[in-house]
Amino acid sequence: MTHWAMIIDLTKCVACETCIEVCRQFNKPPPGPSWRKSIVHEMKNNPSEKQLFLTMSCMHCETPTCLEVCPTGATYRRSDGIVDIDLNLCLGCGACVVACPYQARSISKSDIISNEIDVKSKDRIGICTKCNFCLQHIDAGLEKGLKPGIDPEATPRCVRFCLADALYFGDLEDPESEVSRLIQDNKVVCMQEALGTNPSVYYILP
Amino acid sequence: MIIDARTLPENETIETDVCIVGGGTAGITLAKEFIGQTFSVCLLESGGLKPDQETQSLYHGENIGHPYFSLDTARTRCLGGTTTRWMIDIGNNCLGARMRPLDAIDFEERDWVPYSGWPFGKALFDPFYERAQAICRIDPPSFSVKDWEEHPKAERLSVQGDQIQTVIFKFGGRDPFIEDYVPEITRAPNIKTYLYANVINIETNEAARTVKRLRVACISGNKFWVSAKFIILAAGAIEIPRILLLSNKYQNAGLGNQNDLVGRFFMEHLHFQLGLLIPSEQNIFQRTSLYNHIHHINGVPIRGKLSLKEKVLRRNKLLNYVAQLDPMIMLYSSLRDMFCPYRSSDSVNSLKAIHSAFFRGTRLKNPGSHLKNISAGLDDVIVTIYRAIKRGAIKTFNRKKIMLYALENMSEQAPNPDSRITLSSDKDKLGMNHIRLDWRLSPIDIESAIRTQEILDREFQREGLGRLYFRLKDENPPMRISGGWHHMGTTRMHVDPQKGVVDENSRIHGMSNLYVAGPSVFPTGGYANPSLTIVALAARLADHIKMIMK
Repeated sequence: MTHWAMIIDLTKCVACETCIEVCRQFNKPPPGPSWRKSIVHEMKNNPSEKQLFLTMSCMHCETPTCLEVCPTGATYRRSDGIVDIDLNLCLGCGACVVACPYQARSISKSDIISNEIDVKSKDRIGICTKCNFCLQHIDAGLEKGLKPGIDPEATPRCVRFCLADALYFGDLEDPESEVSRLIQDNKVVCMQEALGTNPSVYYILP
Repeated sequence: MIIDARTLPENETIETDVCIVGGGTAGITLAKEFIGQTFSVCLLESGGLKPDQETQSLYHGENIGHPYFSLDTARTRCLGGTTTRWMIDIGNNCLGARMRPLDAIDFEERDWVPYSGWPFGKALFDPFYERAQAICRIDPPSFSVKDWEEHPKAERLSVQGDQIQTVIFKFGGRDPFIEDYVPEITRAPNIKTYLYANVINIETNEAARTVKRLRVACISGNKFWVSAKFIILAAGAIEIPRILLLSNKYQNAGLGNQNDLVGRFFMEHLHFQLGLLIPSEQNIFQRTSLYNHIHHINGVPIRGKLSLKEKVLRRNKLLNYVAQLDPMIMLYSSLRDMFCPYRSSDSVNSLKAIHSAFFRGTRLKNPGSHLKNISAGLDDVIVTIYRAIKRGAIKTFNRKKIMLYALENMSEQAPNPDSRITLSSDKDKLGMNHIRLDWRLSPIDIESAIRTQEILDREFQREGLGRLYFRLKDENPPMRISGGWHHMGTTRMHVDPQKGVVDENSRIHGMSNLYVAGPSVFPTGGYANPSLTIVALAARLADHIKMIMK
């Protein structure tokens, strides 16, 4: 069984925001909050030298709180661990937005569509959207026999274009994968572990 | 050959013919041009092959002027430099940047633009633009609209008047620089690339006329020297003035700063939304495909934009300007809200405060004054409630939509000596002062944008294209004007040492062997993204150095 996971190495991230920009350009989310965000935290003791750049998106939890509260079953978890939304079933009720402890979901209430050529964003207005690990590229890549996390074409765009090599993607169930190796070799943490959501996004702390 | 400078012995001296400081767009172009020459080249790059936090922290600085990007994240210190920040999706899973030469008028001395004028005209520079396009792989070199139109899919608007024109922007990928040129440079026998090598001081003779050697340091601690016949600073418009200002052993004000010009005239391209173009007919969207999105013509990604014709700029004494048409779809009711925002009176604000406190379960401060406000302005409260219900109903039941264009602008900033970079008292890990950026706009920057929107509106209406609704209304610089990571002007080019830091050959006035490459030498920046001009100037400087070395 496959379990896709992402590792974010906070010792390497330089807050260039390439991940956010490529996510916006390739996935074309509707107007509103980005699917990825970056928080810059200045260390108070020595602001000129030390900053913490925290980049985050949907955590693709093993026990997602968003899934439990979804009244229509639009939010679902695939067998490979990716949590996705069926756009045809989502009502835009917002229950999952409230339930997600990582503020990874949003509903675009805007009636402004930035690009009329882009049908994708038009269809997503009024319903919930979020990061889906670029599953269209993963699935298409797998069909071609490519390996997500290794072959660029089958890898989430944020990981593929990360300037500082701070993002990693791969199969957690494969002990030979880079993500498994990084988890083994480093002290990694997940966000809000106490909640028991078991995210698939891990952080290597500075 | 790539060498990790951290492994060099302390105080070793590297002897070379030409030293390039900085492995970004300009540095890579220069090094590429020097491949196979008979002289030796040393390329010093502050970072590694990938950016890292420790090296990026050297860029940390203060912003004390008009709001600007955080300085340590606005540039990348690694081999590839700013090319790694070209982030536009140009198709085929490639990222790139907009590219266009400056216009002929940008090179001229214009009486309405203080400090304007390049030492040479565009005609003399055009051959280098052609070379730059070959380097950036956006050939063929033409920027004529007729060469890039697709009939009938993507044609220019048939504007009859003599005010507006269509201009073509090409998009060049970052891959040629990072994937092709960097490996070519590292394979070249006459070029040695040193990573993690930061120039912290330029040592000159006592007369401060000739550079003897460069002091180079690694964050890890070791320091070494580079001795070269010619030194080219290609580290960007923020780092170059920092190095020059700190190299002050024999020139107290800093190297090349005898006329207090180093660090001044910091310029950006002003990015802002000028207004919304409401088309008179919705079918205009079928006629504006050239402007709506990126097209691939003969393998080159291009997009059309609108600018003002040269004679209009002259007649109205305007700064150069270009507008991108970004299509939008929105509700009629939202459009009205956008242009007629409702300003709440004190009574309505008090009602909102009570409403908010009630739903949040918090205690209201000064409830007495709020109640007093409401009773004094009860009529306002009733009108507001009526309007809120009416607007809500319209939004719910009247979903009529309108297609329009947002005019996203990139305009020239007039050179301003008070817009400048100075040294901060804070120091980085190498003991160098951080920089302090005071980005300032001039009244002409805003006046020109306002006048431009008036001309555009008149022309759009005259041509029956639609009407422009302005967003920029007063002459104070609005906070929403931002830059585009286009740092320019801080070691400007002028034949007169009183007016420029470098001469027409990019050599620092008064210095025999110190040159500058990159956008810091731009006396004016036009509206075009700087990349192509950076590459063209670097190719020109490379020719100059090759000629001298012969």
